[in-house]
Amino acid sequence: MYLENISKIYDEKGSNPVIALKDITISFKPSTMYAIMGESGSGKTTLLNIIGLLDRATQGKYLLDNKDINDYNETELAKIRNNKIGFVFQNYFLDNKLTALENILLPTIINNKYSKDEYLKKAQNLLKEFGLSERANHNPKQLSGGECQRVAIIRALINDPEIIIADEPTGNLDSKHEQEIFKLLKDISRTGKCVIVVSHNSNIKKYCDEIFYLEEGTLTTYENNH
Amino acid sequence: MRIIIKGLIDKPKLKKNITLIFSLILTLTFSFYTFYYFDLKKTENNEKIENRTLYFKTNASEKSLLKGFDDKIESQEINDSEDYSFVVFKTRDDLESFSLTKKDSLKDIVVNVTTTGQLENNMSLILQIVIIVTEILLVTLSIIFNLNYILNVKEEIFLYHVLGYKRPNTIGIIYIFLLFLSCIAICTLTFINYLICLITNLPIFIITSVIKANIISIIITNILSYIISIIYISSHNLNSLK
Repeated sequence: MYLENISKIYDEKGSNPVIALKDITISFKPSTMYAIMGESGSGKTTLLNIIGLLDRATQGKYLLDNKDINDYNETELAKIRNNKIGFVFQNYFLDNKLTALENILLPTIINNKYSKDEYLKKAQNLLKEFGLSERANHNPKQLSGGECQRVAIIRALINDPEIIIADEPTGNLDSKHEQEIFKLLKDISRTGKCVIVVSHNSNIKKYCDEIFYLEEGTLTTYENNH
Repeated sequence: MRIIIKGLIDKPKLKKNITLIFSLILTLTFSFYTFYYFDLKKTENNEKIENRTLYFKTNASEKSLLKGFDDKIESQEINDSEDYSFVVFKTRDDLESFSLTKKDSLKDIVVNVTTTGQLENNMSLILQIVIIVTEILLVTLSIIFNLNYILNVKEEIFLYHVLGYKRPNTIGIIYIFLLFLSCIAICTLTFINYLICLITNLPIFIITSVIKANIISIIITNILSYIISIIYISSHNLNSLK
């Protein structure tokens, strides 16, 4: 995954254009955990949205598997999101009307990688692996914050994506659960996936292989923990 | 699909929607029935001979008065020995058209003409207004409800978008489901209508008018609100919901 001179300007043609990102060049590799850090309003989430194909850059090139994503239409981008990218959010984004298991199976309905039964077995195995077997038929409202986030991580993993994107995944959690989630994400990166975490929590640094700092939409510092 | 529907359907909101649609359709149905009831009564009354008869003073030059209306007259009796004569028109409309045309000449010679259907006429007018107002209400309120429903589930729509679903398809699923529920409401009401017709001996053809009006309202409502929702959801950056 390679982003070259990426810029994002909101209200570009209006009277007050806002530059959210300016000339960002960055690349991501598999089996690596990245952190994107910075103050509120530094452009972290905008960058994450562009990486996660939820938004398009105003300028610049974004290559995914050596193909420019500007060549894809919305339908193709939706398919890539479903196949290649898993999302984890601060507020979990679980549907309260569904059980934990149904939430996990949600991305599989429009994915044909595996059969229905295989997906169900996979979801049950992941729930077991993450210590949530007993919670499979509970609604998110009946789960703790840490459990909800683990369900969200399983949902992000269910389609076997190459990239996991986490936006402030520990923002709503206490320090005990925070360490647990960071460790889980680290373990996931060791299975060959590229994990990108946006956070302003400095505790994440010890779990990440590479750290980028953003300031007012510009990439300022880079740390390598290898 | 079961999971998608379960995830996108907000049961309390839907209950309100169904109650709203059901009660409006019920009002519409009731108005239609009453309207047709009065319409039938009016036709029935107009067919009665006394309501098609015009009594007038015999000394008038009745022959010249009736000129041009021969084909509209069913029978007439001109009686010089009596105080008055009478003409029976084929229909009540013919009598009214005659009275209107010869208003000035008839002013002094008319002895009696039965005024009919005043109540029925007024009721017909009121009911027509009720039907139109209910139709407008049904369409407007349903559109408002459907849009409000979409705004309430926009977080779910964003979630589905993130997971790789296409936004128009997700909204489409909601509307197909709402349409499906509306169809169930219509089918139930059709059955009720059929029973009403059987019990009250009202003509069965009335059902088709009621159903036609209901189906048109619901289809218009769903198509309009679907289009408005797509435009609204597409023009808003749902990332802010995170």
